[in-house]
Amino acid sequence: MLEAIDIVARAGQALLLDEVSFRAAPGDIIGIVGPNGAGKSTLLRILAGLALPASGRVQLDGTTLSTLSRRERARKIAFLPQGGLAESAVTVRQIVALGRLPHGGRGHDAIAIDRALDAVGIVQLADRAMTSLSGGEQARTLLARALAVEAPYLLADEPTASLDPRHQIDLMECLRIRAAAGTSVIIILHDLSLAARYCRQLVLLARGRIAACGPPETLLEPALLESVYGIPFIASKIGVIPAVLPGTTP
Amino acid sequence: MTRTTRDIALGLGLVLVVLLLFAASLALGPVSLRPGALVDALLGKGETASILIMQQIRLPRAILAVAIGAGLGMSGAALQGLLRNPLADPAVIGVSTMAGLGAVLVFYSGLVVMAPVVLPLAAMLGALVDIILLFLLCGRHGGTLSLILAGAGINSLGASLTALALNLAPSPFAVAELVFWLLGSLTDRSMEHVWLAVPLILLGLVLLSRTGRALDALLLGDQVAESLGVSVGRTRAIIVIGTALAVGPGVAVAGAIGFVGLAVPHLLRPLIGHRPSRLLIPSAFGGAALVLGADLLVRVIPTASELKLGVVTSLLGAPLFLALLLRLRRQGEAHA
Repeated sequence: MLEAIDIVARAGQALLLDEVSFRAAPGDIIGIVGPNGAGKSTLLRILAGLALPASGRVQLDGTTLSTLSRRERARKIAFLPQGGLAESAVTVRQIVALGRLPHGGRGHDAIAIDRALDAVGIVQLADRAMTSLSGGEQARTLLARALAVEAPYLLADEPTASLDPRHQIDLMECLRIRAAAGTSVIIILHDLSLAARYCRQLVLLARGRIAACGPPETLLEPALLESVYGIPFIASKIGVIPAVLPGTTP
Repeated sequence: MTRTTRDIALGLGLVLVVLLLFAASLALGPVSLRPGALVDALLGKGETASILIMQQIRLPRAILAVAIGAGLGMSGAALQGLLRNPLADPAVIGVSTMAGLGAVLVFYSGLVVMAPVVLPLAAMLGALVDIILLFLLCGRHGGTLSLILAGAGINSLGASLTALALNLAPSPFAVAELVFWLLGSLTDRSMEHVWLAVPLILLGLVLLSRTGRALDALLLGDQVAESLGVSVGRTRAIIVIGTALAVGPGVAVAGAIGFVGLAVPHLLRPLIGHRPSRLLIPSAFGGAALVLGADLLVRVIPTASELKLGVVTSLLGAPLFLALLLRLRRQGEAHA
């Protein structure tokens, strides 16, 4: 269980997060949605232990996250930041292998690396230089790096941002398989339809506060979304697939 | 050849090159000695004159070339990894400039005549001042950018103070002495210089060689490195201190030797690959080979006044570096 308890974050005078609380259980896929500047990335960094909240705390399986050693934390929580392409000509396998650093060469490194390469479908790229890959291939390599940690918690900041529709679906399916195997996935998304389709729970952030939290069907109400984003929305279903579309600005 | 056998072959090759150049450095000089007499003299046997030549003149020179080159090479590789910038070298953090300034000030003030050891000590003090300034300017949480900017600021401060000392120098001879010293040389260095510099350089090499894992993790940026359990701030501090130790004492005993730290990692990457951790130790050997080779050329090429080591390393390194850039560009065009 990864739990945010009354998280407050500030940057100087500005309040970035105001008493944010929620929890992620094993097998959950939790989507964090909300407008730009709502505090999503700040919240994810705090959950990952990469930044400290001004007040409040993060509990990991009953222990306060900040009391864990760096390495213990690194084994428990894999973090995939936004963007961050490698500019160096290291190979895909070498990048994915970085996910094994917290394990210090012990355990089943080679197997974990192969598994991660396979999970995102880039086995054939393993010996290619990062600089020779397309943006989508690089993004999948970075996801494989995060998967290779084999941590019980996986936190990803807009991993679908640079991907085409097919690779967005592939990535979300990949995360769904991970979650089904017991990993707890917390992911920031901008595409509300994608969030509704794959996340069990959504956290809607607006100006540093949780505007709503719950299963997608209760959350993606046009009236609520309009109050948060400031534009009208159309929420519908196409077959079983939820569709949440931004409307025209009034 | 598999990856590992290739790595082993490359490692052995580098060690062999350094050993050969080291032997050549011992063998070369105005007095030619037979190989047997060389070894005897090194071990303190045979004629007194030969023993003196080997133990007091050639051995310290060769040892310093290895240590200084290793320090420059490895710190270049570590800084290029840390700053994720292929143009980084030890000069970026200002340590050579400040060590040079320390030396210039004792020349200028005349303190240098007190004792020979004053000069290297002042240079090391300059390197220490550089580190203190860097930490004061960057603070505990300063990022990579603040390190680069602080280094640039200290560099221009050190360079302008050095220029001021030259400007106000009491006599043209003093200016010439300062300038020649700054160009770098290993001529007439003694075992005292070795004892002064080498232990500190070794300490720096040990510190730098332990940053490999962290540098690998930094390939994907500070946040991912932190998430993988690496303390980026600590790594930065270790590399700054390690570089000062690996480079400062070298400047203190031999003046500024340019280009080695920048060029060596670039020359080795096509052979070793781009993982920062794998470049550290080969870069130490590559740097040692380059400085040994340059110091041999200094002695072989006949010139009216002594050719300075720093000039030769740049003359050797720059064309190699440019050829490499051209080759990389052609490869890039082939890919595109």
